[in-house]
Amino acid sequence: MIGLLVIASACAMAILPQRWAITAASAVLAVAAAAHLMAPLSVPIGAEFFGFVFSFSHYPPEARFVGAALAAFGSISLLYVRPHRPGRWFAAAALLHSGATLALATVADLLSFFVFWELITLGAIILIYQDQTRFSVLRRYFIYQMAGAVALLIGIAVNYGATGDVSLSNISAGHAFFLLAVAIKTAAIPLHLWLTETYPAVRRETVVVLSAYATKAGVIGAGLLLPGFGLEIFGGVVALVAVLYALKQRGLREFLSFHIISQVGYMTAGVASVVPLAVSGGYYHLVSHVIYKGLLFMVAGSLVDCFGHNDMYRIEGAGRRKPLLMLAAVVGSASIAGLPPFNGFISKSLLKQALAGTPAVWLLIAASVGTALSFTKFLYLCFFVSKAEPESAADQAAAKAPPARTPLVQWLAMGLLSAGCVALGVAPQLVLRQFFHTGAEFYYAGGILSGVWPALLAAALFVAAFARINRLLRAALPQSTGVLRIMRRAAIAAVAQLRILHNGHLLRYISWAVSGLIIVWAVLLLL
Amino acid sequence: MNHVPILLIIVPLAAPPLLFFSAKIRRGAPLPMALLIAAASAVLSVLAIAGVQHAEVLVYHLGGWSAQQGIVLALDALSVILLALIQLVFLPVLLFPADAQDRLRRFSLMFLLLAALNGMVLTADLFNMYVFMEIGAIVTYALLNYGHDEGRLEGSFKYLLMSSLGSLLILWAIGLTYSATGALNLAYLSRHFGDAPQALRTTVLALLSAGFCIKMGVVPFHAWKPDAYGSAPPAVAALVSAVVAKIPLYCLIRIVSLLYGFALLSETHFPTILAIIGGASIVVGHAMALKQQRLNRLLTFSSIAHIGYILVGFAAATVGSFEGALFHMLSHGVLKAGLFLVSAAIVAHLQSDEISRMVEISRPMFFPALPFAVLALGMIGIPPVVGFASKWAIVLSGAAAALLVPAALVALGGFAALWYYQRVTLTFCTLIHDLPFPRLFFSWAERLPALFLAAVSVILFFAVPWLHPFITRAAVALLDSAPYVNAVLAQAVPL
Repeated sequence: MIGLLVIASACAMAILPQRWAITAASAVLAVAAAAHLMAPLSVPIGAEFFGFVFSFSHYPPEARFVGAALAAFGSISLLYVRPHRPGRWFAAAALLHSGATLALATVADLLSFFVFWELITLGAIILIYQDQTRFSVLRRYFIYQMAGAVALLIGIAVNYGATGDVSLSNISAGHAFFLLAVAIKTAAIPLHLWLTETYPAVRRETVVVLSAYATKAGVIGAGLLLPGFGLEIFGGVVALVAVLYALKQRGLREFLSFHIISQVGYMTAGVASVVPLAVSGGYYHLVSHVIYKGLLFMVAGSLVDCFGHNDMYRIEGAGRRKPLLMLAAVVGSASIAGLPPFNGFISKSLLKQALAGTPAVWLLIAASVGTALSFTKFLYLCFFVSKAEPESAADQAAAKAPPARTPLVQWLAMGLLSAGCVALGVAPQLVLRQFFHTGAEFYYAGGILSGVWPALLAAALFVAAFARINRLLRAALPQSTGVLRIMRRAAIAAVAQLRILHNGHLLRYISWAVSGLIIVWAVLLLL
Repeated sequence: MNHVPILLIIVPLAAPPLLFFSAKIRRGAPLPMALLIAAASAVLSVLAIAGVQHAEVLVYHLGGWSAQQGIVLALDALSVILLALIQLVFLPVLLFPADAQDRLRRFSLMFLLLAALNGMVLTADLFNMYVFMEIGAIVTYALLNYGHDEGRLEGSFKYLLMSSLGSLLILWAIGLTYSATGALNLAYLSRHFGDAPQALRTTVLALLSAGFCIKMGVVPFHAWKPDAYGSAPPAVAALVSAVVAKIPLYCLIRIVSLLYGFALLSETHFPTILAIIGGASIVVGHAMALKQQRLNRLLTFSSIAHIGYILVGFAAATVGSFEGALFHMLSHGVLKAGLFLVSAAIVAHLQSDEISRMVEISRPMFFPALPFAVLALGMIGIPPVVGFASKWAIVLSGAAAALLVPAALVALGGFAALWYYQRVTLTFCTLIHDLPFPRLFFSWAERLPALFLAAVSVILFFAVPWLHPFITRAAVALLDSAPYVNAVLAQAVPL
């Protein structure tokens, strides 16, 4: 219901005056966040249409928590976006995109699921379109999402054929199609091109909003469509491979995009697990991730504002010139690396405790080391190191000029998110008791050590052998071309072959027909 | 009212001499005469549909002879769907403008074709069906070969040869059937063909499948089709690909349901064969359509894919899948005829159907872009155009009948269709400033047929709830042929 109201308010944004739209949208999402916490509107809604029952607005506790976090993040991210003066379409699309994600967490049947899943894409498409990005970027995003939608639709059809039912509680067939849909939506490598080629291409403020929802919808989808399916290994592999790709990136936003994929791998491993604690960990990680990744994208945006480019290796001495920004970056990095006392530590500990003893946990730990390593690199390159010689004259000039001012409201947004990172890290019991009805211990010597040692190992690796690792990764990892590109090439070759076969010779055609007859006859007679 | 079935054949059969004499009396007379006959035939079809709505099966014993001695015409919900399709497509194609001096010949051939098509749909006699099929094939050959064009000659020659091959196989099957039972009446065969030796039954089934598959043009029997239809006059191609290619499919399922029964066949490999042929047609048809440079060839390849959809529906062999397949026969016929008529209007001006040359249309949005886009949406399977519901039914029931791969192919086929139709539509919509030639102007006579079919395709979408009971009846009749058999074999009513 809250999600629907947010979507409805998107229409109102389209007629508000340009200067009020973003503020109003931010306020709407803030109210939505509060509404999730109190959940006065959590009355299930059902409607019948063509004999199918659409049913949504179910608020299990974890959906309330996830929804509140997603809405609150939306509100804060719009604060950050405000100084860039995006138009009312931005506001409307952001509300549609986030509202549909909120609604998705509350559905109880596959058809409503499909509708909201598509509305998320629609919102994203409008966001990217109003950004005036290159058309090819928009097209790729669209094609991938449509492929996912078709997979979902076929899955629904198969499941309907098997059970005669479209309710989410009764999924017994079509898992392969659901898995494909989830894999596309969570941008699992090698189906990730829609993410890693879109997020670096849109404007720095758009990506802050965009990065929070689409992949999380995939995670929510994994939790709803494939509960207890056991995607631990799948998620672990995705987390590890994506981290390797992230390590070798130069561009700030490319780097953050691959980290989204990696972190989403953790969540998929959690929410589709058989272990209840892992499910809680997956959702907790989703919320932590939305907060710290939003913070990091904001930091990246502000860095781009200051330096005019996106290249980590060319950013010079940001730590000296923007100490507060450095503080935000450190909080974000520590959170994503899973250091206590930040939120990433809590969620990763939950996952590790739940999956302890399975092979998946080692994949996740390896991915943690990679994450810590890659954020050490990020902090070092952007904030700490003083490069001996800036590479170009423009960089020299940028290094001398006074840094661009960061507007107050953006500081406010980053401050709120940093506070969120700390709050969810310091007081996890509150959340766990309230929304997950479980408890777990985090702050004891062994627990803290388990959070710290991957980071320490990463720091040691960074000092000892980062150049070598970097070289190895660049040489060994294939270019991040997607499956679709390979499939496209294969299809073009196949069509060319088919066209050669149809060469117009009548005798050949007759022989096809006669052999067709013989085969049909033989099959019917002999088999 | 009693004589409606036979009148449905006689009236169009009488058209050529009537047209000829009317032309002797007055030069301009054939057009109103043709309109009159077409209207009469349309009225007869409506009467037939109304008749079937009340009675389960409408039977007409020719000359009052009963089924054992004479020929019987029978109409049930299944044949009525085909009858409606024939009429819906025939009128707009007939009205599409042609050269005045050609009119007489063209009208005569088309009415002969109408008679043959109606005959194939109506008859309950195997050999009668064959005779009407041959009349139809020869007339189709004459129509495809219309005009003096080398490509046309080659294409229609291929059609003639392949179609004869198909006829040969079917005739062979009929001969075997007759030798085993001594009868040709479908209803009689339905009761007694089971006594024939198993090997003969299987052979007949293989021969019939292959023969009719050649006639309807599905992979691997399809290769003549793009050459024949792609080079034919597009207005003729509209009728031929939308209707003439559907009738063999009707004949096949009618014969199979009566002589073998879909329920019994589901234990053999026949449904698998249908599904494989259907799936292969979908893949090859769509893949070949992707890169075509000429619109008519593109549309033909898309037809191959769509007949594949229908075959998948029949392969699943449930009431739901039959509904989807039967409704898709109707909707694909209307849509494809409309698309070919758009192409016909363009060819009338450009003298070519090269897609790259269609930029010369330079953006008259109302025509051809609007009807083409509407009809293409239907082909892709996007509401609110007919084609969505039938495709969806085929996908759902195919998946339910464990035909996962073909059902997925049907669902994915829409993407290929989306790709190639958007390419053509965007070519229409490209705006060229300072045209080096006068802007094209389409007359109303050229626009109306395609616009009519586009309107029909939208109306049919919203009419699905009303059509549904009828289609269900037809689907049930396919699974349970007892009412048809009993009605046909009942004692002849004296005239």
